[in-house]
Amino acid sequence: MNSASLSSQTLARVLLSREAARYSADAGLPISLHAARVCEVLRTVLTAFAGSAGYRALLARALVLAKADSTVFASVHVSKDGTLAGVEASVEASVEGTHGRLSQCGCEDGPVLVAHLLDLLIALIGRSLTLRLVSDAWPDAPVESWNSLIQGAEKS
Amino acid sequence: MSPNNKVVIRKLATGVPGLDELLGGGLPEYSFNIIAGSPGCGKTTLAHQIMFANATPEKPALYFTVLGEPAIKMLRYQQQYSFFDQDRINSSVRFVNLSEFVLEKDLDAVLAQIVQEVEAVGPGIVVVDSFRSVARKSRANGGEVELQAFIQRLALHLTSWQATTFLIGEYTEGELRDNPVFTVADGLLWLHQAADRNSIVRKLQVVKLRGQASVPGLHTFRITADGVQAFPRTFGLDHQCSEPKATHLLSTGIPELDAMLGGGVPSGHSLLVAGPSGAGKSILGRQFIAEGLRHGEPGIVAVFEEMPDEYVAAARRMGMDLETPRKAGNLEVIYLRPLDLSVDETVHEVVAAVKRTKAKRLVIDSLVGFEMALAPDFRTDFRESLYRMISALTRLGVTILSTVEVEESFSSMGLSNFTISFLTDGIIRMRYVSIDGQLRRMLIVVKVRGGRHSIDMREFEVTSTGIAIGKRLQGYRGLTTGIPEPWGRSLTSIASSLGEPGGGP
Repeated sequence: MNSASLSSQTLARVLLSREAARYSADAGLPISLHAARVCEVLRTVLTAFAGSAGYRALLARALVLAKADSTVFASVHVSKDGTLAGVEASVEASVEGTHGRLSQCGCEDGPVLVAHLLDLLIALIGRSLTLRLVSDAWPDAPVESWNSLIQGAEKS
Repeated sequence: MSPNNKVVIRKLATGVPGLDELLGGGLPEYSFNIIAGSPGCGKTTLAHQIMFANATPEKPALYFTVLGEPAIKMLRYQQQYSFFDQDRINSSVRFVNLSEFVLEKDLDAVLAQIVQEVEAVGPGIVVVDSFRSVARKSRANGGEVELQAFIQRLALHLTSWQATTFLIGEYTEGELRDNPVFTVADGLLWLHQAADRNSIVRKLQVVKLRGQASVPGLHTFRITADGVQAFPRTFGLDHQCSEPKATHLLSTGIPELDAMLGGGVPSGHSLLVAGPSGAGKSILGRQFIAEGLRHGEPGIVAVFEEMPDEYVAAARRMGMDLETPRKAGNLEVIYLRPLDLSVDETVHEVVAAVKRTKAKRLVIDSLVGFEMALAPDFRTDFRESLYRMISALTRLGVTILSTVEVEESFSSMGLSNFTISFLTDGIIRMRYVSIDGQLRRMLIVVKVRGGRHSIDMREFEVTSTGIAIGKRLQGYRGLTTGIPEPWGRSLTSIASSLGEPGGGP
């Protein structure tokens, strides 16, 4: 189950796919690894103005919400500097099975952590500013494209 | 050196209505400024407003947050203001969090970090919020000299990098003395916020501004959805030419009253209509404004005790059409009733309306309602404020009719409860008089500055079409007390008619 908003789930899936494409060799690895990479990109942008403590607080909250939705992040925790730790354990645990693999991004257990993080940002600073930050993190796509992506998700 | 060779300090528009006037034209470019005040007085909002007004992609603004309001929350709240343009975040406006630096490193490292960011971005505006956190950290380490050196180097560096800087801090007025931060600063804007009974009064002071003449004193400001708005005590009229006064006479709409005034109200004069409740002061005000509109003179009515629609409807019932000129933009009826108004704010509203409509007549109905609408703190300065207001408005060529309710006494005849009659050019006094078992109305022109006027005490009535002035009340003495008695009637005969001892048959 993914209790994050549909629009944030859609956006999160696209972000995960983008990071997966950057690291195509890891395409078969678990979602938690790609989620950690997306979070790492967001961390750079968010820490600049919110500070590492500010970003860490947001990510910790998102992780709690994600764990309630999915077991994919069971062994993951947020370290002091705001990076995700325990991702390696998650990778090892899923080597044998297909549970939580990126290929299953369409399933409910997909990009739940990133979606919750985006939902938190939208709740706190609004969608427009959140999309602007996302656009700053992935500058090759203009903010309008993210906006139309979300609007499309809402219409469906 | 000729004056032409002096450096010209460019003045930056602050984007804050009224503030540029207070600053003497704007903020000196490359200046190093402090925005100080107590928590919640609007320091961060003011800094944001200035930042958004000046930041461009070529010369962006750098906003350093330091252990103050968390950046996420700051963005959450600041984006509610109309000046906050989200599209400019991270392009023209960049936020940098320095909290960890301040917590973990010394001031040299903090300075190095600021310098690094400034050199990377080349900002036109730099804000450090809250600088007090940096100063506290330094003091905790016993580093007064270290702090002074830090500020001095920071100011030097930021000015060299052609940035206009704002340090935001929560300071009390007692901290002004011997504080290195204030010594180094080129400009010091102090925001005050005080609770007075149930009202909040906000005031702004330009305590210091190097290189240009700012307007001294405390000036009211308000924070709305559009951000900070200052109301300079000069009402934005400092450079406004004065309109000549008394060039012509304005009709009140009541020919008999015009005659009593010596032909009408001299243009640019302030006329006070004083009288008890229900005497007809507001009706006279309506007739005055309606008469002006009939002659193509736009007007403003500032009401405090009834809503504009009610005011217009009451006029309609007396045959005065105020709705048509109101719709045409020749009349504005301004309702001013929040309980924490300042006179300056009110006058700014009225001056703006006067400029919008090119008004020639203004009715203030009433001064008592006006005073009640003010925050208690401003009521103490009401007389002084009225003086400034009347001066400012008459300088614009506006002729003012103000009504004031007088508590009626049947022994004397006061002109107003504010001892403001000296502020006005003319005074009309209405009062009730007890004659022949009736409570009748009487009107007197007490004063017309520089002109001859009637000294008659005339009876008047309020009819369905307005005020109708009757004949002079003759044959009575003690009219001004409200309990006149016929001339020639002896005290003995009065006592007799009352059946009191001492009275003859």
